[in-house]
Amino acid sequence: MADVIEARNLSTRVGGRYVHRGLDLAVRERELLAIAGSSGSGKTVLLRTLCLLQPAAAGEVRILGRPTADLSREAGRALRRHMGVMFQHGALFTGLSVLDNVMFPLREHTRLPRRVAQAVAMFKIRLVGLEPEAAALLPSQLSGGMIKRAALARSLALDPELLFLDEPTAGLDPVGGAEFDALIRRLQSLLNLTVVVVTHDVDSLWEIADRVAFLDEGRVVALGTMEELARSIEPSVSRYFGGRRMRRGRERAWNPE
Amino acid sequence: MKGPAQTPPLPHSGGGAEIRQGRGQSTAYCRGDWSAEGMVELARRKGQLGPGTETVDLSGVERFDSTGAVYLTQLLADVPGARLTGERDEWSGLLALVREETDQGTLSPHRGRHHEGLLTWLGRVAMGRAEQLFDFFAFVGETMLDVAAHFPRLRLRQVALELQRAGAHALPITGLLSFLVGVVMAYQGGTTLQNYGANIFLVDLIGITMLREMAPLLVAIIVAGRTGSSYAAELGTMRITEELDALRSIGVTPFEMLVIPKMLALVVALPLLSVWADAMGVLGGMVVARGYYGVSVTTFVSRFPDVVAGSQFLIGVGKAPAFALLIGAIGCFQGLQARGSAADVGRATTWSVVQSIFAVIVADALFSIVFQYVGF
Repeated sequence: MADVIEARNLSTRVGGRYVHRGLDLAVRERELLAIAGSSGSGKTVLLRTLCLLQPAAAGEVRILGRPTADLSREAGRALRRHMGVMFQHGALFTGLSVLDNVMFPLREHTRLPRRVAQAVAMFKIRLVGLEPEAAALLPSQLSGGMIKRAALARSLALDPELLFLDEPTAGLDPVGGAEFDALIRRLQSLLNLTVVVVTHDVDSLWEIADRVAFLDEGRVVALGTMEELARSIEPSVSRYFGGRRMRRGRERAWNPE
Repeated sequence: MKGPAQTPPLPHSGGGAEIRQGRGQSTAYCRGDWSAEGMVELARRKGQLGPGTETVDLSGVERFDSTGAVYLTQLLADVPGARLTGERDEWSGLLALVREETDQGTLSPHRGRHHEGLLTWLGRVAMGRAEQLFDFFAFVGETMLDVAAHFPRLRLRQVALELQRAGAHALPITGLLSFLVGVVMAYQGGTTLQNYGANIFLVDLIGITMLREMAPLLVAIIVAGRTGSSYAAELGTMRITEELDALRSIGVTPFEMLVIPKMLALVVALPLLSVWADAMGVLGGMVVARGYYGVSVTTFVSRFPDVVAGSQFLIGVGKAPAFALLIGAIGCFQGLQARGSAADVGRATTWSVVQSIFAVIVADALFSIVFQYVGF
């Protein structure tokens, strides 16, 4: 399968400090790639660079086969139409209702008639498991789990090929987290998505990831399925996955009952 | 080595969505790009299926997403008997889901806000205002209680900081503006007085209007726009970022930590600014009187205490603390009223300026009436 996102020899800098140096990563079409690593290993910075929110200091990022350095305004906008981003805290527009939040990308990028755009937005709201009544609510009236779902609906508004999720299950209780994992998997197969997800959540890694990229010291030190990573002899990886909390997660994944 | 870098096209097939159907034919052929991008033209043209459609053939569709599915489902609602053929397997899940949701009627949102009549609107607005008035009284009450409870340990550091921001930093703008107002008043008044050869009365004109009315009012309006609005924005932002709740959870009320120091600082700063504005305004008048109307500085200064009674100055400066209380209370109150969204902070800021300027002018009018009544 083709690589839809490619980072080659990528370096990023935040506040004058290098976060990644010479990082290589390729995301295959229709896979769910998880980015893991300990806190401060630059997972979120990598995600922000891949979804073009932050320029690379060196190296290149190719999205859907095209280079992203020095994109013109229009080319950047056209490319962003194929990418959906869900932020860790939702980042819903506080002055708009859930429906208007989800309709916002549709109305910015297409000139669809209101009736159609509204029905598409309502479909996305239903798709992420929100009740139709939630559409009229303001973000301040939503619970944490509902905010995550509404944010997911907004990132899916334009049926993007690429979906970027930053800590989708952070702040959810285990039941809510498991439901959200199942939702991501279901949407991925339903909408033929390529998903890049940054997560800390052990259960999530086992549950949803086709492959996991493990970051340490500014590069990808291990890349493979969870089973492969769990057997990895790379010290930083085995330390991370060998920990007691991780083992418990793996046992649970192997023996779901 | 690879060849020259190629830029593959983004997944968007050139042609937009189309429906091809001859008049009276029972099969409609859908073609092209049935995605959010490609649907636009067809949807705006209100493309439809013919009334006698029995089969909808999707084999010519190159791209299909939920927008296409939603639109197709809306079309199919008009021809209940029609059958779909030629759809790709990868779309069937999406299409089935859209049809299911449409059948449940969940895709047509009930409008959140119903159209309301004039009376309903009037009632809602009036009740909103009344409620806000009660909230304001509650705010004043709570502030008073906190003043009583915490009077012995005022937060002098906070007060000093606010005093610097609201007072010292406002000196240039208040000074410049009152100087200019003094210039304008002297100029306008001088032209008329000159006709009667009464140039010397410029001293009376400038002295009394500046000290008694213009300086305190001008300063109050500048401070309302400068400091009152910043109080509203600051408290409003702190409220929606839950900083105020954090204060409460530590056992500190926002009143003692924020509201009281701010109001106290304003009560001190406004009279001082008002004295400063008096001086600058009179200076402006004096410059014009000397330059254009032949009233020398010596004459001006020696006549000034004879015609401008000390009470004029005291009345002007005495009004300032009252204005300060109004501006501080309204700014803080509006900030605390912000609920939830970023737009609310903007609204609170606007309202704080509008209401405090309104309140200051009304208060000034009341002062005039009262002073008239008691004979000052």
